[in-house]
Amino acid sequence: MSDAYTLLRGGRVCDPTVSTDGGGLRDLYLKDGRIAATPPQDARIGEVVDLDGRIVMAGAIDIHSHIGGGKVNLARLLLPEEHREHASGPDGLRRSGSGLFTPSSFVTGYRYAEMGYTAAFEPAMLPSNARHTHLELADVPIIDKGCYAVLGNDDFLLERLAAGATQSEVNDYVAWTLHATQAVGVKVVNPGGISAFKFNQRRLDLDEAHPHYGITPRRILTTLATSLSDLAVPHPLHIHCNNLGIPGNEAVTRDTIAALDGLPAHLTHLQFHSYGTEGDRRFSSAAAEIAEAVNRSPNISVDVGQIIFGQTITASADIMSQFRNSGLASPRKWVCTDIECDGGCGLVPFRYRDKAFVNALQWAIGLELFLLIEDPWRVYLTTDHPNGGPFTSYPHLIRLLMDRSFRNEQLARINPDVAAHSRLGSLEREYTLDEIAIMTRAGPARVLGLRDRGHLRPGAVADVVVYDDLPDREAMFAAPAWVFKNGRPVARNGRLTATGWGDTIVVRPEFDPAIERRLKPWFEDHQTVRLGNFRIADGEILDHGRGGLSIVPTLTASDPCF
Amino acid sequence: MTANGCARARTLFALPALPAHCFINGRAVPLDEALDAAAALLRDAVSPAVGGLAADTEGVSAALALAERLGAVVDHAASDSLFHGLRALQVTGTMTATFGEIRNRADLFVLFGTEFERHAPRLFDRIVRPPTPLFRDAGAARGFLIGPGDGPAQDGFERLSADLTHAPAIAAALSQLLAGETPRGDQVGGIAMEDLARVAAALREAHFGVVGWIAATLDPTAGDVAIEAFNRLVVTANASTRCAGLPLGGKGNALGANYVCAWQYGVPLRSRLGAGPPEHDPLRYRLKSLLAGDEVDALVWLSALNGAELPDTRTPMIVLARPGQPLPRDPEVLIPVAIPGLDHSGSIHRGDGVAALPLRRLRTTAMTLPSAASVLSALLDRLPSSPLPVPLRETAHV
Repeated sequence: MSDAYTLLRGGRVCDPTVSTDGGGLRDLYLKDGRIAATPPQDARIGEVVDLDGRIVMAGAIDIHSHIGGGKVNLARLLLPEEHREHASGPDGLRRSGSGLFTPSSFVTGYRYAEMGYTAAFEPAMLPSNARHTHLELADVPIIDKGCYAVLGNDDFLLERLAAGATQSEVNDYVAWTLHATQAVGVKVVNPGGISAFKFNQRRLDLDEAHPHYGITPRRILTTLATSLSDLAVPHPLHIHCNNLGIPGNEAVTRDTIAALDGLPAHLTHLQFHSYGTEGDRRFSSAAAEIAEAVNRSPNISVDVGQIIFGQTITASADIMSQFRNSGLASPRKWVCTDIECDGGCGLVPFRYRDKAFVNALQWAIGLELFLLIEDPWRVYLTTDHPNGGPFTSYPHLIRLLMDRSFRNEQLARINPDVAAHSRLGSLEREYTLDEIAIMTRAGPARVLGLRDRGHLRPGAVADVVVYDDLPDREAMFAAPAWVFKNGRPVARNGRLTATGWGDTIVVRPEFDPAIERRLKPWFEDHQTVRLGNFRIADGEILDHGRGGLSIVPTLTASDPCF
Repeated sequence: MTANGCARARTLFALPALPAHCFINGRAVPLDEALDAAAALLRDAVSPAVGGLAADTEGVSAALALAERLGAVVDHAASDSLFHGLRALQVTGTMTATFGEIRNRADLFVLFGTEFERHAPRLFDRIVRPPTPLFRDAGAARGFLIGPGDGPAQDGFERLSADLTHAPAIAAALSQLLAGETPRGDQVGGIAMEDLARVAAALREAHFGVVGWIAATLDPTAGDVAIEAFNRLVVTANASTRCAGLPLGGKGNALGANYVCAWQYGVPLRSRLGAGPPEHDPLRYRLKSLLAGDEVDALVWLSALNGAELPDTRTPMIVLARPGQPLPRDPEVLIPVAIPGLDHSGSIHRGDGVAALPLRRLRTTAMTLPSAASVLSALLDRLPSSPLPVPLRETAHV
């Protein structure tokens, strides 16, 4: 603890959670890692940083980025060519590392911090892989991180649902999983479909019965969404819909929104689920229909999963989809793994080509979604890293959203049929800085329940980013003038100046521990580890001396919900 | 110890506890003196290497950090088998399933290898014939053992004798048969074509078939080619039914050490760390070859777990070893270290990669040895470096 304040003097503070007084210059005080209220006259001011009217935002939050865990690590091993091409040695401050779309752990933290991101969420942690995932994330420096546990294809849940389990039993199981795996949310991936593939089913629609359990994806989806709502977990069910990437899947996406019937939910990488079947190629944009459904549903938030042209790898628990797409692998090698009566893992390297009609239209569909979904509080900036492209392309994506003439220049360069098949060229919307601050900070913080992140009010964690107000928004967002993490400067003009460790963010809803009486024999009879070894103790995260655990409070009746 | 402990783990309990002092050329010294001698040896090294790497996640991490400081090559003692699989992965990819999935689901096993009891001691009771599988009757799994040897096979298994140097051709013939093609000839690798046809038919008819292999028993010069062929066979079978590959064997947390290297540096073992960007070359940085060619001038060898026999080399060596580690000669520096999962907690990776297992402290002895990670960190602190990054803060909210 120190009694000195750090003063960030004269910035244009862009915090959409407070009503502004016309965008005048403001001072920000940082103390003990937090934003402080204006101190008394005689307070000791340590460092003073003159911001000269630069733009100030809270640290950015990536709500969906595959940055660690078994499948990311297998992706690194699959593509040594990527790591040969993009590698860096130690420089006294930074550890050595490599990779562009599957960067190594240290590099991941450095790059996020240099871009002004101070938290990222790994969205696909299989419970059976949770320990590995946390071990990896313990080696990601600077940023805070959290994980969503993947449920909805695990045989325990499917078997209990088929046997007629009550909602309250499922709630206990979901809460137990959040505790045991040290997660902050729950994601469902192709509900029922990953399991159905293990029974040799190649596709599963929302109301199609699972070949073994007889239950439908609709049932899995609504039961899990209800659980998170009942448990008052701030982040609602994080949904990867059925039939990813299949032309015509917009129908299942709209049906999913309808099935939720007002329950809060987050639909992730929506771009991959917004495809129609019109036109000669039987592949078309359904962004307008999907955006309309989202606009009408205040219970729904989304992230886009924008694609960026170039080489990447698609990494997903959705092995059913990944096996179907394995023929598209470029280079021609891919991985599919069935995992532990729990889930799956599919890796398909892919190159998005701007001259290929399908890829170019995917690019346009993502941008259409961004521009047609009206409420920036409910649509977040992602590339589904690395599935649509690396997170380092966010500054480019921000420019596409903020600068219509730049966007239309790009549109003119890609496959010419896309302009004819997309309304993108006619969309005039340009995101404002306030809207960017919402979709990259305040919005994700709100939907994750991070009360002291995503804003700059007194008491917030002092994750602060200062930008030069450049007309080239890509250059502006690629290299912030200053980045502060927990009140300490970590980057200057886009280059790292200090490092350290962030927190692991978790949620711990109450539940009836009697659920373990049912789980214990399940683990002993069918699993390969025992219940006691499955659970991850706090010490396993804390004992490394690399950041703390930060517990997100569950919602109370007075909290504003969607 | 739990009844669940495997035979390999049990051997560790039987080891005598080493005295808690260290040795320089066979002369007993305190730890500090040994660390000073080790640091002196490493400071002068031009082409150092860090090998063995039989340790828990933290021990491996500390060893890699030391290598990064030194500009050293890193490799695991048992990496030959690992790299058969890794090189195949980097050519064709892989289609596999984990132990937990297979034990509940697989109804057919086609296993390439020999001495299954030695290389995968829990294979039959834990994976092939568990008492309560979810999706098939207990004991219903059947299969084929393909490899040298002619002893009796397990219940429901049939032995097809073959020289495993022919494994790629055998797997390729099975792929052809599965795809409805007719391979030429009347036998492949010593197995009659009608027997292979029965194997192919079984894979086609299985609900969930498994093609498994023990990498250590494959042709040492072309194990990767065999695994590529196994993978093609698995992918071919998945055109109509379900099937998965199952790599077996591995020791000394080789897979875990490789994983840690991959997530921290983006590259597998057999890389040179810290001398500029990480540089991976599976042939050039094979430690056994480097030692045989006298291309290493200082070796750090880590064997806190079983599975990392010391190399027989005259290269000056700093050995961090568990008690009971056989030594071919007195190393320049010997520092005994605690055994993860016995003397201290930690984690290692299971052979199928998905599960990192927690290790707990199971015994307390009067003379407590330091962990490999703490010894390696103390050694790192003795080596010159650029200034270390300052931590942001050290609060914990729990």
